Parts: sequence; structure tokens; C-alpha cells
Amino acid sequence: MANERSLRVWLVAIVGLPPAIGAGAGCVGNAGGESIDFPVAAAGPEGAVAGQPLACASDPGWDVTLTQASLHIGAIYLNQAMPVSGAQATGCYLTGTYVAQETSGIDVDLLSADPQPFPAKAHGITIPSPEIGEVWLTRGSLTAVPSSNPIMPVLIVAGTATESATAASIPFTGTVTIESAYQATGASAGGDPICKKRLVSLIPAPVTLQDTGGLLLRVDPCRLFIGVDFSLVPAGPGVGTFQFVDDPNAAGYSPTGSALYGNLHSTGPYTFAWETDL
Amino acid sequence: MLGRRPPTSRGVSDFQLRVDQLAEVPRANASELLKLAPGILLTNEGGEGHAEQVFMRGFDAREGQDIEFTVGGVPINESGNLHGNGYADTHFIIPELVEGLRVLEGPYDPRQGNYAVAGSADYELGLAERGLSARYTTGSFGTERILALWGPPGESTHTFGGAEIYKTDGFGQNRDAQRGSAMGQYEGRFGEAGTYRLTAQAYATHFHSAGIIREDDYQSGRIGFYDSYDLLGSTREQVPEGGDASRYSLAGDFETRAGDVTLSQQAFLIKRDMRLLENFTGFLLDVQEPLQSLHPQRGDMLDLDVHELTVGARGSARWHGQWLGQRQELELGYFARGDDAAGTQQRLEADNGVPYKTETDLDSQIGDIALYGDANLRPWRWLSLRGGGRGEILTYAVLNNCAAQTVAHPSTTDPPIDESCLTQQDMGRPREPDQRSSTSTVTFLPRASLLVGPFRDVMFSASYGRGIRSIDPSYITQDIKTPFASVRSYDAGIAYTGSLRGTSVVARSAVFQTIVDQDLIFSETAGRNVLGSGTTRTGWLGALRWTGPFFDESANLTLVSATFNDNHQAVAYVPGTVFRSDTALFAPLPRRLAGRPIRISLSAGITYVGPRPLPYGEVSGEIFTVDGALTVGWSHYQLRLSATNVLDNHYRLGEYDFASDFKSQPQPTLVPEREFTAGAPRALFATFGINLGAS
Repeated sequence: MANERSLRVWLVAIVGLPPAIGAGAGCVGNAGGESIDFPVAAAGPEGAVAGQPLACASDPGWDVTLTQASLHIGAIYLNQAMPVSGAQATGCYLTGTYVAQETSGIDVDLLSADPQPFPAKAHGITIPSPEIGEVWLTRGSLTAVPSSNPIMPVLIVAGTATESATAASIPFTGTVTIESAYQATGASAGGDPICKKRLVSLIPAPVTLQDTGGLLLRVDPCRLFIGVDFSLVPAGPGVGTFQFVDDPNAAGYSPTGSALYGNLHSTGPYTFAWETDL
Repeated sequence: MLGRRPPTSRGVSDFQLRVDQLAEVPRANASELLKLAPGILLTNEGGEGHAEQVFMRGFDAREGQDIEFTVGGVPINESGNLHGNGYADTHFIIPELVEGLRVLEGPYDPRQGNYAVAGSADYELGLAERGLSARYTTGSFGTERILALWGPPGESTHTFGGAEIYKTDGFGQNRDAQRGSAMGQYEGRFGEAGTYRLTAQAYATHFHSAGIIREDDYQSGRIGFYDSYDLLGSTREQVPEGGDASRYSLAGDFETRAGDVTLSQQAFLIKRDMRLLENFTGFLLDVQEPLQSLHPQRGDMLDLDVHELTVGARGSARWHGQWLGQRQELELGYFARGDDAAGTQQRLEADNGVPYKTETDLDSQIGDIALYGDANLRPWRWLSLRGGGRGEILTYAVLNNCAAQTVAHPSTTDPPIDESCLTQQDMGRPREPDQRSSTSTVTFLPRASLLVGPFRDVMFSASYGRGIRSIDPSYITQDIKTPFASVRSYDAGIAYTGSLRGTSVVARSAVFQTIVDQDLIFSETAGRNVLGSGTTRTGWLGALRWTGPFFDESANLTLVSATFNDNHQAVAYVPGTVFRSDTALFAPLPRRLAGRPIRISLSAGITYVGPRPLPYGEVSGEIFTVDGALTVGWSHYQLRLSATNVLDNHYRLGEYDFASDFKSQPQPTLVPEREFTAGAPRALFATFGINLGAS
């Protein structure tokens, strides 16, 4: 009997220990951060009105009025870290942690300020916070050539440019199709692969991902024409029309075609923001 | 009657476990015997030939890197294994030949060496069933196993032989495996008061592995729960995941007494080879580099190859005498091992299985020599102070055959296109592709346990110890000061060892804390562990072993909190709650058949693992499984029906959260996402056995 009593006493003591000592132990802690799914939308600049031409006042030499500006965005990525100088030359992806991705793709009317939602929500993590964003200008694989069948441009623009000094008016059209013509040729190494031609990287994106709201990418089509001398745009197929050349290997591509692509490929037209009511 | 003196207990967290009737509980391999000790969770993302990932007392010990594994004192951890330094594959052990195991949770015994961070596990081999036994098992997923065991009657239970041949198609896709294992041991007399043992072992396996599944792909129906990307059209791998492994070893030891001194000596030789094919990230990492020909993503399949030769010895002399009317003991001993390890890691193209990049190519010589002193002082009958210290030197000599993999400014006229191991320095200056580095360190590890009691069958204990884990040779740089991670561990508890109405009861309760200065964190991109920051584990464990004339019950529960020291966030993947119960009921039936008794036993193993924190605020699901078996024996014959995962729960054995791209979306998936490895569904097996020649 003494043994049984002893056993009971000590078993109770043993069983009673966990609540006292194990407080906190056994609970599921947080390893940091949060995974979230959130909406993403793209839009033209604030002030643009869908269905109406967009007047650009960004270039002192030319008054540009856009009647069409459509951009296909294949994907959006946000990355944790601004790469150190030179590190970006290593490959198509950034070396830091990708913290958000929108992979569903969309055609954006850049003449509308209204947010145009991507078909599917993006996926992201809240820690670490993003610093930079990437816009992928492709209709299919980033590295495939061609990226789609049939081959289609990622950018279509049309409008009229009026020279401020002479009032000369130049109706223009333009497309940018980043396919085989942009593929590096003759190089034995892949230092200039087509993936880098198709992605716009290092766009400042100091946003905070949250449970509510969503990511808004604004693309200002007016900034696609900064530095473009419209007087040098080659003549188009119609009488009195002009057309940007969409082939880096063709005559007339430089300087205007290359400037249009260069602006599209630069960070200038793109702005990321977190909109709480998206 | 031969045998050895059991090791001296270090307190409540020292589990010297007899398997006995709990051998009836279904277990896939010898690793699962570890579950008899508290706080153990086993997972396996790599297939049947891949070592189990072991969680012990809040440590994600990966494939053994934080637990010192031995079998009869012979090391199992592989120093210099590229997949994980200290990788411990116990699949070569035939579970029927395990007599018992000692699991010491924490580094409290001066005999514990490298890798004893969470603790240590030593398998003791033996065969209680004498005579010649043969068993044939068949069951779910095309599984078949032939087992032969023999133990000459009249010889020690430590004299035995055994071999098995095993094959399975595996559940789901790409989980087939074949293996063979043979073990033999002879124990004989050594002089008047000693014994010796000679042990030989051989093991070889070839297996495949399904790998991970992205949770979003499973939820969208793109891939099934038990499927493998390796067999899926868009992500098909010409060489799917899996691998090969083999282990061959010889060991000999003796133990003898001379006066008041007990001497022991052991020597061992181990040959180990391993190939692992694993792809955690799909098609993510092969981005276009400036010094590469234009290419698409060719796939991230890792082809890791390790060859290792280990030679070593251990020995000790233990003196005992009387002082203050009590038995006092003092032991001096040494441990020594040398490892010659070669490891390569390449990436394979998914389309054709051809290596396209060499990431690692190391030849390492690792030395580990230790001496220790261990005292067992008893000033009074009810007080024991046990412990001492261990001094250890670790030496590394590493030849990196692929030391230069990048060059900032290559030669403009002869750039090293598509070369993995470069022969250029900056501006095209020539260099050899290899480079040596070496280092060493000496450490002193104090260990002590205070045992008070027993009072009315109750013992109190408190322990302190320091342990080390040597680091991966890939981290060795010339004359690095401390090529190991260090832990400090504390433990206190009470244990009841008594009897209740003719049954034996052992109940334990302990609190513990372990502080690690540099923890290992798994990197799915590197395919192995990488060094992280310091961590602390604090928790409680309770264990009960209750044995009676017709039952044997072992149950244990561990609650633990594991956090990083700098930001106090939880250590990912570590379960906070682990519960395990092993139960066996056994008795002869009242009716006899042909004048002979019919023996019957029912057994069950129940596992519960609580949610685990995952990176990025995610939390894993729970694991709850029930295994059971019914065994009927008559005369020389035995029939056994067993089932694993009786409830057929769809559970995720391993859950992760990292970036992977298996081409499931229009554009690459670069952001961390949930992945899992599937736990096994319900499986049914039947085993027929016969035993002849037992006296």
C-alpha cells in the first residue's frame, strides 16, 4: 500500500509539472513574417480618362497626344534587396529574396487611370519588405523565342506629336515586340540574354505588403517618348504617317525605335504603390 | 552468461531502453525504435534509402547532424558527408537484431563525442530468439521482404547472424526501393573475466524518391497527393530523384577485468558510399549567367556523391574501489577516428540527365581524437556525482577541387565559357582550379550529473554538459578558429522506478534547456544545411514505461519551445508537441492446438506531432497516425498481420516554405510557397515465420 501511495504521489507530481514549467513550451511560435495573397492592378497615370486621348507635357520639344497605349505585362515581381553594383549582371533573376509575385498577365490600357486588376491574386510574404520591383514584358516564357505564337507586340502606341517650335504635326504609330531580333547574336557567352531585354528591373517599390489593400502599378505612357525626336521617326505605310521601327537590326530603328524601347525598358514610366482600397 | 555492464545513468534524460515485447509494434526500420524515447519525430523527404530526418527534444537534427549515433559503440555519423556533416543512415541495422538502445537526451556523458548536441543514441545488437528463423513478408505496394536470423542455442544472445532482402514499389509515384542487409556478430570469452565481440555488416540499397509537392499545385489538382514532379510531363526528369547507398563495416572489441579495473578496447573500419538525387526547387536556380552559353532553365536536380572511409578506435579503463563505505568509480578513456571523405555535387539537366554544372568537389581528411575522464562519486548512498570532462581535437585538411567558380573580370580573349571550376583569376590571370585549406581546434567539454535518491523509489537528477558539432568541410577556410558549433545544455527532473501489483513502472519528468551558438538551418537551394545564428530550446518531457505479465506500455510526451537568440522568433520546422505510445498485449490462448500453446499478441503504435512553425508565419498541420499488428504463434510457426496508418490519414510528413518553380504557373514562381512531402497511406502486410532449432 505504501508503494502505491508513493507511486500516486509522484505520478501526480510528474503529471502536474507540465502546466507549471511547460508554459510556452509546446505552443506554436512564429518563425517570422506572414504569407498573404493580395490583388494587383495596373493603370495609366492619374488624370488619364478611359476612352479619351492623353495629352503629354513631359517633353519640352514636343506636345504629344496619345490615342492608343496598350502594354502587355506578363508578370510582376517584388524583391527584397537592391543588388549591389555589378551583381545584377549575373543573371535573369535578382539575387535577393523575391517577396511577391503576380504571374497571371494582363493587357493594360495606359490611357485609363482606373486600376485594371490582374486575373489572379498575387502571392507574397510580409517579411522582408520589398525594395524593388520588376515588370516582365513577355507574353510567355521569359527566355523562350518566340514567347508566343503568333508573335505579338507587348506595346502598342499611337498618337500625334506636335513640335513646339514649328507646330509641325506628326501622326505616329509604334509597337515593341521583344522577340528574336532582340536576342544576342554571335556571342559565345550569354551575357546579354533576351530575358534581360524583356524585364524592367530595379523599379523602386518601397511598399509594405499587408492583409488589406493591394498593389497598384501605374505606367505613364508619356514617359515612353522622353528624348524622342519625332522628326526622325521613319515614314509609315500610309501617306503622311510615321511609324517607329520595331526591329533592332533594321534600318531606321535608331534613334527613335531604340529610344522607345529604351524608355519602355527603363524604370521611369513605372510606379509601385500600395492602395488600401484596391 | 556473457554480457557487458550497462552504462552508468546520467539522470532522468538517460533512456536505456529494452525493446522486448515492443518489438511487436510495426516499425519500418531501426530508426523508428528511437520513438521509444521522448521527443522523437522522424520524417523522410528523400526516400527509403535516405536517412530519416530526426527531431529530438526541439532540435531539427536533420539526418543525424545533432545526434551522435552509434551501434555497439561503432559510429554511424559520417564526418565529411556533403549532404550533411554527421549524416547518419541507420537503415543498415536489421530491426529484429536490436536488443535495446540507449538514448541520452543532452550531452551529459563524457563518452559522448562529436554530434552529441541534442543527444546520442546507441543501438545494442542482440537476438533473443535462438535457433534458425526465416520470415517472409508481403503486402501493400508490392512490398516483399525475406528475413533470415540465426542464433545458436547455448551461445550468448550477442552471437547471431541475420540477413534481409527487401523490395517495394512504394506508395504513389517514384518511391520504389530495393535493399539488402547482412549483420553478424560473435561474442566469446576473453580470458577468465572478459568477453570479446566481432561484428561484420554489409548493406546496399537502390531507391527512388517522390520529392516535394507544392501545396498550390496540389490544391489546384495539377498534381496528386502521392505523385512526383519527376514523372509529370512538363517537369519530367530523365534521372528521377532517389539514390544509392552502401555501408560495409568490421568491428572488434573486448572488455575484461583485471583486479579493480575494467578494461575495454574497440576498433572499427567503415566503408560508406552514397549517391543522392534531389530536387527541392524544380527549375529555379539555373539562371543565365554571363559566362554561360545561352540556355533555358535546365533543372535543379542535385546529384550528390559521397565516398568515405572511416577507421577508428575507442578504449577505456574503469577503476572501482570503496570510500566512505560506498563504491566509487573513475574511468579514463579515449576515442579516435579518422575520416577520408570525397564529395561532389553536380546539377543535372532534366531532359537528359547530363551534368551541366559542378558545384562542389571536395576531398577531406578529418581527424577527431578525444580523451575523457569520468567519475562516479558517492559520498552517501543517496547521492551520486557523476561526470568529468572531455578534451577533443578536430583537424581538417580539405582539398577543394573546384575552388574558383566565379571571376569578376575574365579574360576578354579567352573567357571561361560554361566552365564550373575555373582556371582564371581576375583579368584572366591563370590559376589552378583547386585549393587546399586546413585548420584544427581543441575544445574542453565539462559534463556533470547529480543524482539524489532513491527515496521511496524516487530519484532526482540535475545535469549540465557542453557538446559540439563539427562543421561541414565546405565551410573550412585556412586556420578558421572554431570549426564547430557549441552547445550548453541543462536538465533537471525526477524519476520513479518501482512496482505496482506485480508490474514494473518507470515514470520520468524533466525540464531542459539547450543553447546553441551556431545552429544549422536547412537550405533547399544548397540542398543541405547552412550555418545560422544561435538558438535556445526550452521544454519538458515526460515518459512512462509500464510492464506487466501480459502487457508492455511505453508512452512519452515532449513539449518544447525553440527560438533564435537574436530575434526570439521560433525555429522553423521544430514541433512543439510530440507524443508517442507503444503498446503490446501478449498472452497464450486458453486453448491449445495439438497439445501446444497458441501465443497471441496485439500491438499498437500511436504518434501525434503538433503543428510546426514554418517560415513566413505559416504553420504546418498535425500528424496523427496509428499502427497496429496481430501476431499468432504456434509451435515453430508465426503469422503476423500488421497495418501502418490504420486510419489512412492524408498527412504531410514534412512541410516546408521556400521558393520553388515546377512550371505550374505562366511565369516562374520565385516567392516562397508551401511544399510538403506526403506521409504514407494505409499499408497492410502479412508475415509468415518459422523458427527451428531453438532449445
